[in-house]
Order: sequence, then structure tokens, then C-alpha cells
Amino acid sequence: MEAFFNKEGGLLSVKVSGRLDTISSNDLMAKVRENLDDTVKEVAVDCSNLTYISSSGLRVLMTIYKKIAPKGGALTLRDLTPQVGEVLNITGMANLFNIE
Amino acid sequence: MKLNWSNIKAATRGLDLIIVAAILMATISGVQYYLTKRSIENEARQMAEIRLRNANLLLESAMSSMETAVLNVSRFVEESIYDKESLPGLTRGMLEANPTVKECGLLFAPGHFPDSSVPFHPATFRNEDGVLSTMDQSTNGFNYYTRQWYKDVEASGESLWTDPYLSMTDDKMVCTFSVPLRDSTGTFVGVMYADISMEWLYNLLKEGASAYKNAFSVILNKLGKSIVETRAGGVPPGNEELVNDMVAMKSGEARISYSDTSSRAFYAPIGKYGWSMAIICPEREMFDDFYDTVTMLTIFMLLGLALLGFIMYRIAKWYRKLQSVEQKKQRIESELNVAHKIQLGMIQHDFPPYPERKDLDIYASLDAAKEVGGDLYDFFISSGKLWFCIGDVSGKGVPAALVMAVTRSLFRSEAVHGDSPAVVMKSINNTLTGMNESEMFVTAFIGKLDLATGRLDFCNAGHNHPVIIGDGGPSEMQACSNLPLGLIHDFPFKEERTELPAESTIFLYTDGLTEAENQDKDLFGTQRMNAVLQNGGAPEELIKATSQAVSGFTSGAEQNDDLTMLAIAYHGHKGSHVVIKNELSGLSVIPELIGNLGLGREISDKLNLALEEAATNSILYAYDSPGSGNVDIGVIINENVVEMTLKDWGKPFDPTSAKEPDLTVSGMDRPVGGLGIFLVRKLMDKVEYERKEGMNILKMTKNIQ
Repeated sequence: MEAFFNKEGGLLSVKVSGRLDTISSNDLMAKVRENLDDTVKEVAVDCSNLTYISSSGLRVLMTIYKKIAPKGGALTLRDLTPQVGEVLNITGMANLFNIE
Repeated sequence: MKLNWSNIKAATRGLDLIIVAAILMATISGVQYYLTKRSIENEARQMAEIRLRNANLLLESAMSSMETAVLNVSRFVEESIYDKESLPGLTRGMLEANPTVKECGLLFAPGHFPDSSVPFHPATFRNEDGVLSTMDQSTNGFNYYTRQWYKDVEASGESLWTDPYLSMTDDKMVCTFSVPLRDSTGTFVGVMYADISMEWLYNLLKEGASAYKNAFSVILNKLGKSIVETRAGGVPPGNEELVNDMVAMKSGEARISYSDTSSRAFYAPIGKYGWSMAIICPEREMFDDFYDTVTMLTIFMLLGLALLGFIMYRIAKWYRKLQSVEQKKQRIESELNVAHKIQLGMIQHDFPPYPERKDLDIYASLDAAKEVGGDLYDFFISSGKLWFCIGDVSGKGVPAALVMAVTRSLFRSEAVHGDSPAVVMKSINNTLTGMNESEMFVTAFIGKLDLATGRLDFCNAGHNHPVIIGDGGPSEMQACSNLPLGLIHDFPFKEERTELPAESTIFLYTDGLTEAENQDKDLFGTQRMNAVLQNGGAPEELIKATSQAVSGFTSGAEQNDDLTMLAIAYHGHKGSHVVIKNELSGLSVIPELIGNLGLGREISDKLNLALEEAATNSILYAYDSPGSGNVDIGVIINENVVEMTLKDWGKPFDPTSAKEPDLTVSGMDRPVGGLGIFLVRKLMDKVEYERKEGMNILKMTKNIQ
């Protein structure tokens, strides 16, 4: 799993590639904590190369969401692959996040 | 015996022989013919010449003796020229001395005897009975002076022979020789004449030509007029050249024709007075016998040639029959070769076929009998299923090989996108019944082995039941027989199912194995076969050992049927079961486990996720510390159901009892975790938990299509 972060203004852009399973989710969580400071108002995640997400991965997303939502910010997920999209649907998280 | 053209053509190759023989025979015959004909001609010629000469001599002698007699007597007459008394007696004496003379007379010129004005004409006659009578002819009033024998002699003063003429005396043909009479002064005073009967001459001639029945003789005078002829008509008209030659006093041989038959004339001058005689002989008669012989010989020769031709014809026919039998035999042999090649081309013979697979071991052998092309076996893997079949076509040669090829193609094409051995069987059956004209049928066994689960679906069509070799040794598979393929259209083949346990082998064979015969006509049989299979072994060993047992049993007796064996050892599905330590790194085995099922991407992802979530739970929460316990993961497919089983020996925990997270709660109120089990429940169709013997057992089931 690879993740690239880009902070500009209040927008944190993340590109996640590969599988977000239990193990790699820990890695991502660590990176997110690094990059997600209080200056960030919005987060956009490029999921075009994200092939798999497990509940650990969902947890990372939830963590992001809980950090910015109180400030009125949105978590945007772009270009979801089918598996990832389905998981988000099943768990109802598709309603929480901004899916593009 | 049909006279067909090819036989004649073949026989005419021997025609050269016949032609040479014919030419040879014809040449020899021709030479013989020529030589024989010539010798017959020579013989005829010689005979004719002899007779002519004889006739000549006889005639000459007769005539010259008469001439001599007359001349002699004429001298006596001249001495008593005026003695009327004695002169008659002289004529009588003439007849007495010469039996051939018919009449002899003296005719004196008028005025010779001065004392009478009437001529004096003494003559003696011989009548038919030979009685002589002498008289004076002058009294009968006939004017003899006009007769040729007087007139010409008076005129020429020389003796002459007259042509034959009809004698007045007795109505017979006579010839007269007359000589002049002279007195002492040499003056002509009269004629002495003697008549000779032509009958005598006629008889002479008749005798001369008697050798040939239809031959005849003719005598011509110097004017070419016929004076004696033994056949009426004399020289046939149209033969002037012969007459001329005869008149010209020539002698020789000529070919003449009369009444459309050709004849030979042998002629020569005769006598002293310009007469010529010819003996005429029809060639037909000369060569009659000869022609008969020639005809017979020719017939025999032709018969001989015909016989020769007939013999050659029969020989040619026999030879051609031999050739066609030979050709037929070669055709059959090459046909069998073709059948053999078809058969070999169709079956797999590279073993092992799937060396990279751990779960399978396959070996097969097909030992073809000399005349048969009917056994087949085939196998292939598709979508995690091993399809295999074995078959035995009834019949022999190229037709059987073709049915075999069709069956194999159908097996492949139907099984690849099919699902059910019975459906494949039905399809093959209907195709075969559709094309089957010669009552051929195929016994077959088709199986589909699910490599992940060991489930075997199969359909049997009248074939020998396979043998399953497991822990307990070989045992015959129970199977319905249905019917062989190709007999009844739309036959409802029944499909059956069984489980092939891991580490068992299925052994398929054709009846060439169990019905192999030895010299005593005993059969190898299933008992002997099972005895070999009892010893077990890998497929290759198994088959080779069985082969050896069969050859040992038959020991030299001729193989009369194909012997085919196919053995599939199933080791079970490796990697369907893994035990890991309770560490997150152990999750890496999951993708492989799911991948081994050989399912599609989407379903595999779902199974992967569900299994990962469940396994993560066990890893994180079952034990107190990482690496201190085991988690057992098992994945199986049964029919269209995937079963994933998770076992651990940790704290009792029932994931199914956890409440479903409330998704309607606002995001901020939602717990961060707890979604794992939720996902599992959502992704799988059934989730069951059981606590047994100190284990947490979680069974997740999903139906897949």
C-alpha cells in the first residue's frame, strides 16, 4: 500500500494505492495522524488505485471524518473501485462521505 | 464365364505369343501347301505325259502298221492291176491280216478296165460279229469318186489319212487311209483304201485318261478340228490359244477353263499327219484329295489357335483375379494402418500431463490390437474440474476409428462448456445415433472430478465399472449401466455422484484387459486385475504392473482387442487448510487460499474480505498476546457453496452475538471499530458460531453461481 499526501491551504489531498487491509491500515493511520493537523479543513482521497479495503481501512476513514466533520469539513472519496464502493455501501458509510 | 473387356485386354497381352505362333504355323503350312501342290502337279504332268506318249505310240503303231499293210498290199495290187479275179481276194486278205481294219477296197478309175464302162470297186467288210464279206461296190450306185480319199489322192498322187467321217456302210465313224495305185507306166489308175474304226481310237483314248474320273482326251486334226473326243464338245470353247498351239504341233501344258472350273491340258503332236492330242484334267480333281487335306489341316490349325487363345484368356482371367485379391489385401492393410494412425493421433501420450499440479497424478496406456481402432481415452482440466473419459467402439478398422474420433471430439467440445457428464453423454449419443449406419455403438464412461472437493460426477454408458483404489484396496464403483452410445436416440442417461476421497485412485479400463485370452482361451478376468491393483502404487506403476500381468498371462496368444487403461490419482486439494499463529502477518495466507478456489475476481474479493475480517478478530481478541495461539483457517467448496471455517482455542467469543452497529446513528456517534463482523455478516450468506471442545468455531457460508 502506498499513500501520498499533499497539503494546500486547508485541503489535504491523499492518494492511496493498493490494498488497505488490516496491516497496511495501521501504516496509513500513522501517516494520516502525521498529516492531519488542525489547519486541515477538507480531505480528498484519490481511490482510483485502491483495490481493497477492510474494516481496518474503514476505521482510518472514520478517524479522518471525525476529525474534520465537526469543523464542517467534508471527506471526499474519488474514483472508487467496485469492491471498495460496495463495502462503503454495505456499511452505510457511503452516506457519510462525499463520493465522487 | 463372362467375356469381359479387361480380361480380353489382359489376354491380348499374350496375343503376341499367338501372333508369332500363328505366323509360324501359317508359314510352315504355306510352304507345305506349295510344295505339296507342286508335287501333285508334277505327278499329274508326268502321268499325262506318259499317257500321251503311250497313246502316241499306240496310235502311231496302229496307224503305221495299217499304212504298211496297205502299202504292201497295194504293191500286190499293182502287180495284178488288170486281174479282176484275184483283186477281191487281196482286199479280203487285208482284213484277215489286220483286225483293226473295218473295210478295205480298191477303187479303179473309170476306163481302167477297157472291157467295161462301169468302174470296178472290190471291197471287203467286217461286220459287228466279225464276219467278212467281199463284194463289188460299184453296183450300189454310189459315186465314190467324189470322196476325199479318192479325190485328194488322185489330185496329189500321195497317200493320205482322212479325217473321221461317218461311214455309209454301217453308220460308224471311220478314218480312211488311201494310197494311189499306178500301172507299170506310173500312171494313176485308182486308189486302195482301208477304213479304221474310230471306236477303236476312242477306246484307246478313253483308257489313257482313266486315272482321273472327269479327265478326257481329244485329238485335233491339222486344221484344229476335233476328230476324236472322249467327252462331247472336245476342247471347250474359249481356249483358242490351246488349239493354236496344238495345231502348231507344240507340246506342253496349259491352264484352260471350262464351265467355270479350271483345268490342266497336257498336249503333244501325235501320229504323222498333223494330229495333236490333249489330255484335259480338271484341276479340282487333281487336287481334290489335296484340298481336302489342306482344309482339314487348316481347320486343325485354327482350332489349335483358338484353343491357345482360350487358354491364354483363362490364364489372364485367373491372373487378374489373383491381382485383385492381392490388391484387396493391400487395401485392407493400408486401411488398418490409417485406422491405427487416426487412433494414435487422437489420444494423449505425454505423461505426466500436469507435472506442476500437486493434487493430481495421471497415467494412461493404449495397447492397440492389430485390426482394431476402437478404444479411446481423454482428459482435460477446465475451471478447476478434471473431465475424463474412456470408451470402446464396437467394430474394427477405419469406420471404428472414425466413430472414435467423433466421440472424442464431441466429448471435448461438449464438456468444455458443459456442466454435466450426462448431458455430454446425451449429446454424443444423439450425434452418433444420427450418423450411425452400421450398427456401431460405443461403451463409455465420463467423469467430472471437482479438484477442490473431490466430488465426482459421472455417467456410465454400458462400460466396465471403474475401480476405486483407496485405503481398503480396490473396489468396484457402483454405477448404473444406462446403455451404450449410439443405440437409442434421446436415451435418458442417468448421472450419478460420489466422493473421491483424498489419496485415492480411480482406475478405468476397457474389456481388452479383462477379456485378454491365453492359449487355452481362459480370460484374464477381474479377479486377476484386482490382485494387481491390490498392490497399489502410483498410476504409472499400477498400469505397467497390470500390463505385465496381462502379457504374462496371455504369454504369446494373439491380442484380439485393444487394451486401454487410465489411472487418476487424486491427492486432494492442498492449501484448503492452513494453521497460522495469532499474528496479523498470518493474514497473508488468505489471498492464496481464496485464489486456489479458482473463482472469479468479484466473489474472490468478497470471500477474501470476510475471511480477513473474521481472522483478524481471532488474531486480535482470542488470545492474550500475539503469537501465543493458533488460528485454523479452512476453505472448502461443496457444490456451489463456499464454506470457510475459522477455529481458535482462545477465549470464548461469539461474533454472531454482537449487535449490529446502528448505521443510522450520525457519523460522530458511530464507533470506529466493530465493523469487521458486520461486514462478515453482510458479505456471507450464513454465519454460524459454535463453541466446542475448547474451540471457537466460526463457519461462514456463501452460495456462489
